[in-house]
Amino acid sequence: MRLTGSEILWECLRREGVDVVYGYPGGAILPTYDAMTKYPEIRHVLTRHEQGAAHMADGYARMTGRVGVAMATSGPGATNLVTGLATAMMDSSPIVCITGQVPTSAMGGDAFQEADVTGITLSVTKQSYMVCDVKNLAYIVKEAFYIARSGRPGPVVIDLPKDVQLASTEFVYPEEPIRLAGLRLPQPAPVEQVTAAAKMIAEAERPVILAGHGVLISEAGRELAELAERTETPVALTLLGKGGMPESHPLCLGMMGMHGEAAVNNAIQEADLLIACGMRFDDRVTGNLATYATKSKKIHIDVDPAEINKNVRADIGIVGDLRQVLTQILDVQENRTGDAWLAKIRTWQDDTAERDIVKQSPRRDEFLAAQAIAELRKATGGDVVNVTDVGQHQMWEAQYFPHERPNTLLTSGGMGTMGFAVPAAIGAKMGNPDEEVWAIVGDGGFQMTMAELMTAVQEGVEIKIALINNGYLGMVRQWQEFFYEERYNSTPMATPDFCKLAEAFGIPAVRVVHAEDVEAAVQQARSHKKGPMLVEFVVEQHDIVYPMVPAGADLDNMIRRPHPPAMHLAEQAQGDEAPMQAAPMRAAQ
Amino acid sequence: MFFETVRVSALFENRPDLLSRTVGLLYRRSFDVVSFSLGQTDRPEVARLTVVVKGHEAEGKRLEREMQRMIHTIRVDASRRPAVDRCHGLIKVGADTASRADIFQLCEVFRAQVIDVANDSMIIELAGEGAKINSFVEVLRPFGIVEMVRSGPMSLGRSDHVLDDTDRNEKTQMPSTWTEHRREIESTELN
Repeated sequence: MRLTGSEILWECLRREGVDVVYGYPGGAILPTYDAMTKYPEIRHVLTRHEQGAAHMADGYARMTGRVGVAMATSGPGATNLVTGLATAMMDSSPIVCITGQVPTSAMGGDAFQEADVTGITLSVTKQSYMVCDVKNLAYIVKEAFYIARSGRPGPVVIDLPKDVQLASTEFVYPEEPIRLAGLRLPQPAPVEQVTAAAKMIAEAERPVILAGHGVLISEAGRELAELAERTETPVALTLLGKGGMPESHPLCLGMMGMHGEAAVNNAIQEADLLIACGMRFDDRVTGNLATYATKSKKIHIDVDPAEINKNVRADIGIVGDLRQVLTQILDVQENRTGDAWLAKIRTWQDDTAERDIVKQSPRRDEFLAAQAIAELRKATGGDVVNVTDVGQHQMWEAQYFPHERPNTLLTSGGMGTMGFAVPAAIGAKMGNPDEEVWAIVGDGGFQMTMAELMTAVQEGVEIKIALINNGYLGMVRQWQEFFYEERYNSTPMATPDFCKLAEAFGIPAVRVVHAEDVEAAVQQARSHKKGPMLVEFVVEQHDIVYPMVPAGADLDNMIRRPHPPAMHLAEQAQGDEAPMQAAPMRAAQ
Repeated sequence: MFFETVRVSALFENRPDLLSRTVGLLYRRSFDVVSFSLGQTDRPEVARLTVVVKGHEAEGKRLEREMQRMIHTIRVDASRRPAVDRCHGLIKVGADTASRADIFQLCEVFRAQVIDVANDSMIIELAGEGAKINSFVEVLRPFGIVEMVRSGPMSLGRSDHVLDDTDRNEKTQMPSTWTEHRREIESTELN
């Protein structure tokens, strides 16, 4: 069968089970868009910006575990994908991005809309291809999908010159399984390592499990919980590890790191053994590496050999698929009890609970973002998928919205990409229409990619948007308050009337300014089944995410949330001033 | 100026993006590269690299781990195994009838080859450890070095220290299915 390059591409995408492609057409990818008409079973979603396309593919991939696909034209179309690729790379999300390229004859000559895409994306992709010969195309597409989803997943770029899309060749689908010299598929861990790890765990007095994104990717939640239960070991989660263990589980401590609760970070610092499962000791998790968990030995299990000993030296570094390795360890693991250690952690937790802002009754006229999120959880019952953006609201979500099952929190953790939430939520909802998907965004990040609202309208994608509006780039403002002597340069942010804006998009919207109105607004959004709906929460402007480990500080040297009495004093001091110029309350060190 | 270096050898599937991927990795992960020598082996689909970076053993191990992430990498080795490390140098040195004999004598001592002779210069080829090339350059300097080029070391483990232990008769050990698929299309086209 003789087919053009464009047709071969679609044939291959169909065989990979692709049901939706997020993209934006343009000159250099037009032959492929034209050939798309012959493949009506693949849905194309026209985004409003290529970054949106990459994030949608990413959201789809995180939701489903299948490879998400984005498509763009050459030059600016392709460069607009870069942020999305970097986001997917950092968070190990499998996407394949297909970019048009100027014809091979024009390449290298600064042609119109020419950009060196494989060069530009080199460091933000797991692999990339420049297809110079249509005969290689079928194989490349198959290999690209295989690489994107295997081992530690990641983004792959296929750059497709226009003449290769138009050229035709005999279509032979490579039926044989992909064999790659360099792709080391996860192997079972060596027995010596497994027994040594099990012994170390059995003998530990103060062990803590650190559970990361790998728990979700490897689907190792059950094994993780079993290890925790049998050895009575508490589990701390990374941001992307949320959902890896039900947070209602008595052994689950919640999130660790820069905005993790002090009880969690204390436990890590006091531990005599850390069992790191599918996490990479990011600086937001460790704080100052020199003082990080110095009392403990470390067992580090990761699928990526480059992660072992990268930031923290492992006493036992096991390279392998987490679920497989945990199963191996469980086979030989002796049970242990951890009463004294758990009791000690509980005293720290009690102190944390005392400072919980949601449990304290705030002033009548005050509406905190954390309350909005806690109320959102109450109103939805918590069994929804949240896609969060980046900033304060992202941390409050992590603190005040416990997750019970995997893949119910999608967020840009490693890259911290503002503007991620709205497009990723669209992709997530399309990947799994049975889930109720909430995009939780701040007013800053929302304004970065809000054009994608129209994509959701055009495609009839039923996402709910919880917009946390404080009129500031809140997280940056918080850093300015703590570390830049309250010089709030370029963080106060003018915002449009978001409800009117939504109306212009044809989206129903409701504004909430009191905590007691959250429930009704959320229920209204939940009952709206046609396309997106926006709920704007106008919240306290100068609120701060507590606790906080300043960047580079020791993990247990946190700026704590003030105790309730201190909080009231701070409020009185603040009360005399007009809200916009109010000196935000100083942190109690 | 003396600094510690570590040598890493690697075997790759020889793909079009191999050079840029390898260099990109060294750049992005902040390796301080002293020399880099990459070329194909007896099999065109396999390439071999010897790279020398500043640092100690741990830096070599770090590079080994990072390179293992590349899908091109068949094997990578940062261990200090017994090996021969040979650099290659080409030196064009000023030489007239008066000095030519002296230079020839020096070449003999260093086991260098004269590969081109002109009226007022000659090109000398020398292989060996980096230090040997350095000292050869020094003894030639009085004659007037016109220009020179040298490579970093290429390294092969001694005796049974073998990096590339692929059975060349075993088809399944070919780097990938890529080349086979290509052949399949071509044969379909012919029919």
